[in-house]
Amino acid sequence: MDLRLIQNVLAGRSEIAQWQVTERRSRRFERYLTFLKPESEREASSVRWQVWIALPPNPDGTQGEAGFTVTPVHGGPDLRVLLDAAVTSAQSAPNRAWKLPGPGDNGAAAGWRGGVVACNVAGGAATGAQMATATDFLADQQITRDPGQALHGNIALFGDAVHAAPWTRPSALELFASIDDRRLVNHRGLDLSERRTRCYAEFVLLHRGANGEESEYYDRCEAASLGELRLAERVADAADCLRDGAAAGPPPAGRLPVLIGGEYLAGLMGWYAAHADAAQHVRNIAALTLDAPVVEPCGGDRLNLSSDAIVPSLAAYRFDEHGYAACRQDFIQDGVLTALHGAGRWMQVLERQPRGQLATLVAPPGRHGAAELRHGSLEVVRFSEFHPRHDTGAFSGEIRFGWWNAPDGSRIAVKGGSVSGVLREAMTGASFSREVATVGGWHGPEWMRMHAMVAV
Amino acid sequence: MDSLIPALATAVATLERLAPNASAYARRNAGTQVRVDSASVSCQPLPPEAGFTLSAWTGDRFLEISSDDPSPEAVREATHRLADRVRHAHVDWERRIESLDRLERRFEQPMQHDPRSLSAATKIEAARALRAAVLAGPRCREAVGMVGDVHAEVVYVDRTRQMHQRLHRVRQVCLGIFADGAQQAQLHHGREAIGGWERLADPAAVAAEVVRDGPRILGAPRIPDPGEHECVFDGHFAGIFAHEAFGHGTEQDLFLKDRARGAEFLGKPVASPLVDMYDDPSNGWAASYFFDDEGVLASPTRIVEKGVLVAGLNDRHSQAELARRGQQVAKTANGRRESYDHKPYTRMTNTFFGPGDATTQQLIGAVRRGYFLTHPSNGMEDPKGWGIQLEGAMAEEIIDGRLTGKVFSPVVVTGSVPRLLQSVSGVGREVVEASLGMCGKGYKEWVKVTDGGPALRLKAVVA
Repeated sequence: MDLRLIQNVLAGRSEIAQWQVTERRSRRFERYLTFLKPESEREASSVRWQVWIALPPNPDGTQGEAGFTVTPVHGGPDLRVLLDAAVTSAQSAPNRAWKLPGPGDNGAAAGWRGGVVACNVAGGAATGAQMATATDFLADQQITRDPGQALHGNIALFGDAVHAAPWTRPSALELFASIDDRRLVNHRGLDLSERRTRCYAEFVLLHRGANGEESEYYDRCEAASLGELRLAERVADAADCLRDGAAAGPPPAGRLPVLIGGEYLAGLMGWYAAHADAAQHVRNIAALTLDAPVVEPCGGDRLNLSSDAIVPSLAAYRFDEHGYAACRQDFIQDGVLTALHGAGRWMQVLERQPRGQLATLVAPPGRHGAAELRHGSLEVVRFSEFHPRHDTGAFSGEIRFGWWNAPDGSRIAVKGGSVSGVLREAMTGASFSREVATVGGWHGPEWMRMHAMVAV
Repeated sequence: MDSLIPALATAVATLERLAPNASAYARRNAGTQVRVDSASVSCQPLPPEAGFTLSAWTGDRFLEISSDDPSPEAVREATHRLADRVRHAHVDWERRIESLDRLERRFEQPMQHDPRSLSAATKIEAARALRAAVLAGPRCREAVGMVGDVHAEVVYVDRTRQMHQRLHRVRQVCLGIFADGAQQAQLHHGREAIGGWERLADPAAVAAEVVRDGPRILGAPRIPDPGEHECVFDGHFAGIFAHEAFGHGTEQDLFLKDRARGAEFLGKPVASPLVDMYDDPSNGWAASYFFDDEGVLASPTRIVEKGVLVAGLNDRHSQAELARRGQQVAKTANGRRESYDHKPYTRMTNTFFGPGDATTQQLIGAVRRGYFLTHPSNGMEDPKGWGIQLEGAMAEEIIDGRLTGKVFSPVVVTGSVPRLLQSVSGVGREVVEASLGMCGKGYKEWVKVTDGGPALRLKAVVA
């Protein structure tokens, strides 16, 4: 099985009006260590072709759609069987008609040009030259050259960082790297490729406190490159938290300013991105209204959010799932939802120009230094689990580790208890840090201070 | 997959000339997922997961190679590559993992009406019926109906075992989004069951709780007096508690990493004497199988007996390693992989509290002031620190032994696992299965699980 065969079979079916094939070739390298001793080493490889088809539009403005996945196991006859089943399925699945982009369309990536994807965006930010500089940001050359050696080097880095904190024991490390090649072709002649790498680290440190009780610190991170994992820095932070947290007690209760950062801040901001998604607006279930304020400002920083595919992060891309080019889309400006983002199909339904699916979620730096924001706040370093409910934006999280930065300037380690709130209230008067960070698909302020959250 | 067994057996024999233990695992997943909402309809085959892993234990570490090409040629090629890696590794022949009894078996879960023989139109109609049942409820702005079927074929081969199983499961899930002006609330419910299309339930029955409770949580405030309260968990909420408490807390691969405090409490009381807890991949619930991904036959494990922690769950490596350290722990069938190309870990299956003798009404009747918690959504536990967090969509006020009808949403339970378990003062008599679960190891390695239990009365910190 190969891409050309799939393309030929699709092109030969006159009842199919549109098609797209996404080829994904993936190699994964994994290392597992227990107390710095290797426990397991794994390698996995896979190839698959995701096929999407649409039938000609019906008079009522709908079109039948279906998708399926082809693997190396499938032969030519299997492909025909899968395709027949997909056509039958599509006849039973009418959806609002929309069109895949083609070369030269507004917003579409322009095509394969020797490793560079250029794009046409009317008045947009992306140009061929910018994309040329961006080709490297998706892939860590250290990994693509020699993944085994790259992992080995970072395991050594982890070991060194652990040895620099002799009060800890390194219970576990899981370190993965993957190389993913994606190629997208469609019936209109788009032919786009990108290579990206992903790295994942998960580690646990142990520390026995003066009371004889042992506690653990669990951390995990994912990034496009091994350097962005900042493994040594994370281990050092974890070791400090373990040492300082050995005598941690419960946090103060009541309504308190709460400082959060990292993945938790990214998760809260992700709620706004989810409700600015065209798919939610098509279904009339978005909690945000276009051209209306998303937050009632009350002395805090104004909220500004953009999707920017060429700001490096795990969500960055050179072209989106349907071939729209990387670009920047501002959707919340000065606390008002000014635009929608989303997959091309939903933007077309809303009769808006598609500009690519959600990419790196970007916010500008805030006005305050982190030290200033910390003062008088409950600073949560780790929750057990923390994410807002999709419908109401309500959130709760048990505190695994944090600091009570008392108004008198003292700093006391805390654990246990929980923080609860609702996003709309939490963001009223919220302040962002000047310091910025990239976490997963988020690039923006490293910290946010929310006022008057409920701590129990 | 059946036809691959000879090639896998040859691979195992070849690798065992170089390393103390070798095994092979192959899996093929197939099925359909159907989704209907106001803006889209889709009926798609699940992305096929088909491939194999060859594994060699050098006495020092596991070396594994996975391929998505389950053909004899690909097995031969992977054998050569893995053999080459073993030759370059340190091998300790003294540290052999004990073999299981010799067994060659084929198993299949019964299925009367194979969903694979049904048309897309039939499946879409089933999802539409589910959606319609939710839309019939008051203040429902949008509803989603989902129906699916999953079929897995699994092969495990080592020196003494050649096992093959076919597993079949169907799923119904509905989601309602209720709205009143700008206020929204969403609630989902569903079920999974082993078998074929005949196991689908009446759509109205599946949607009933969503239709009843969705409008009730719309605009509901948070609990006004967060803190410790007398609570009653319904069977589903009790289930997620079982899973998080001494499900994760007794996974013995964590014992090897000194990550589970449960290791120090085996044989000791950790809960009220009213509490029994089990993990059972053989009880017929939706996460059941005949053997785990390391060829161990499924059987029940009693984890907590009358409040005493009596057993943990393990995979073969953790059991062997604990035995090597002098801890004799019974082998359990809990070695599971997310897919053919993931590592095996100790994982739960169907985890639940055992029944008591009270009705839910009796449990509520004994609460002077507290909350009845339902519609759990997710949870997280810390096996080392024994902290726990459970989240749910609804808490209903109880005053003087009666539900007042006042509803709060969402709700979160936090606290210490043993403190919660020791506070259990009543256990219901009807065990219910919460069949929709998926479980991650940390935040990855997702496998199918269920949980469940009877209603429980206990003291919990809620907010």
